[in-house]
Amino acid sequence: MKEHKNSPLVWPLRALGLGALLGVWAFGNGPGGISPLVLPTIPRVVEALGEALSQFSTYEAAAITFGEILAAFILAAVFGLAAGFWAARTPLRMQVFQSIFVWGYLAPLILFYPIFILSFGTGVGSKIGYGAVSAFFPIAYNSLRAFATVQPTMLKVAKAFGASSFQTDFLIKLPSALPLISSGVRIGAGASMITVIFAEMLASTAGLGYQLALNSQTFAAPQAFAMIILLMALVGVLQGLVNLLLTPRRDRGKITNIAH
Amino acid sequence: MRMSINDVSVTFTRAGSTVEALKDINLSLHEGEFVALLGPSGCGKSTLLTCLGGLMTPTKGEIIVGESVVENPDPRRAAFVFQDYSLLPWKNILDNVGVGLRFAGVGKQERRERSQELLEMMGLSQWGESHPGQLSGGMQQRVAVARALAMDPSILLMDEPFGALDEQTRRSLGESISTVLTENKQTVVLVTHSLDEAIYWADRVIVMSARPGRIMAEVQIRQPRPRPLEFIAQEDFAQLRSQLFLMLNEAMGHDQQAVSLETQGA
Repeated sequence: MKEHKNSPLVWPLRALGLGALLGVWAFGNGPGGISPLVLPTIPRVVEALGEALSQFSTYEAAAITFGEILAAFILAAVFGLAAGFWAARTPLRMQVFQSIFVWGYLAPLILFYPIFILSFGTGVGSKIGYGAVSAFFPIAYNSLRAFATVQPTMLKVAKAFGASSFQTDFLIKLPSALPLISSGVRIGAGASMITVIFAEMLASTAGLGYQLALNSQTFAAPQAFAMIILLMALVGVLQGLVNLLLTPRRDRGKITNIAH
Repeated sequence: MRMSINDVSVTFTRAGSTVEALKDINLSLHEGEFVALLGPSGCGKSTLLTCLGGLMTPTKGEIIVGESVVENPDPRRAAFVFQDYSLLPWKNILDNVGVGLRFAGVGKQERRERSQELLEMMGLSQWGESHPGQLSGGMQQRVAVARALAMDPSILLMDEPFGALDEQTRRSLGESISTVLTENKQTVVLVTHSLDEAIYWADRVIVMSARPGRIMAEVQIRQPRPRPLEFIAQEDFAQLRSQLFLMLNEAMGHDQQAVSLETQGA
């Protein structure tokens, strides 16, 4: 297995990509002739962003959105992992629950959002509930597959070397299943971010998603773009935290290729 | 510790049909003895080894180690070395060697000391913090042997431990591990397909017949252990090899005429 540090070209290339995006934006505002109602100028957006950052209510809204996403993700991760682990314990449970988890994973759960509104109101409860349910299914499905496909040789080692049932679960099955569980948790984290922000935009009274929807509906395009930038930054922070959580310490900062 | 295998038979059901894997196996192992089980593919050698380690219960008969009947795995009684190494990829080499000790509740410090000691014995002391993926097949197999020895087992059960290695590595690894096992006065049961391996390692070679596996013959190897690699080039070795080759052919159901034709053609 070859491991190497990120190339020094990575960050300059990323900066170049961002520069290109800003260039296209500036072109759209100028020779492109796109209306500032649809695409506000970069200086106007920067100004709106500065205004937003100087207001306490923006931080309050960001904290609400961050809290909702975090709560939804934690609930989904805990219950999804437990459900996947429990369902993988017997072949019958596996047969029953695998298809249910797949269904929940692929179904457009937005159809059920009105039920969350009716049950929990338009406050944070409905966002957390909806976000948690959306993230639960990919985590539960991947966890089930992960626990069900632990290599028999690993289980043979556990048995031959006298592992108890608890030790087999936590010292053999869990670490062996971790790569697949991690990918489920990453998908779940993405799902909770998307669904919570979307839910805030659909029906809410607070949060950055709500601010974005409000600004869009009132044609305050610079303010809406400022909210988009803040939401992107928030999502970036959350993704960073998830990556930090899921990447083993020894692999941090490295790109790993499976090559011999 | 002495081991007795008394009238052991194993039958199991596979895809709706009953398969008789082993039939009426009777065998005794003395303390410190090295026994090789040799036989055609599917003759039940590995099944017998699995029963000896308590990973499978015989359909009939019993296996006795010391005074007690083998019913469950106990790595202090009999520890396995598997063909595919089966090291835990997420653990470093030190932790892999000490995994059985961890299951047994041995403290971290003691585990690490014992593991380091065994890695030194296996010539891998500088690899303790590495992970299995960073080691060659031969090195991984030495770690697997160290993991088994860490349990200080009465019996070591080796299931084709060098099956996945190239000829050169098998020979050099065989020589070094043979020395370690002889110094440890370990009782060993080795399952192998290789005539050379069986003769080079064992005090006694048990030849098994094709399924259902029965004990067909026993051959004593009188050369003292540990044996130098030069033993492989000696006349005694060639004679034993020829004798076992004929027995193995018979075990596979080939008649004597076919055997002599094959020998002439060789």
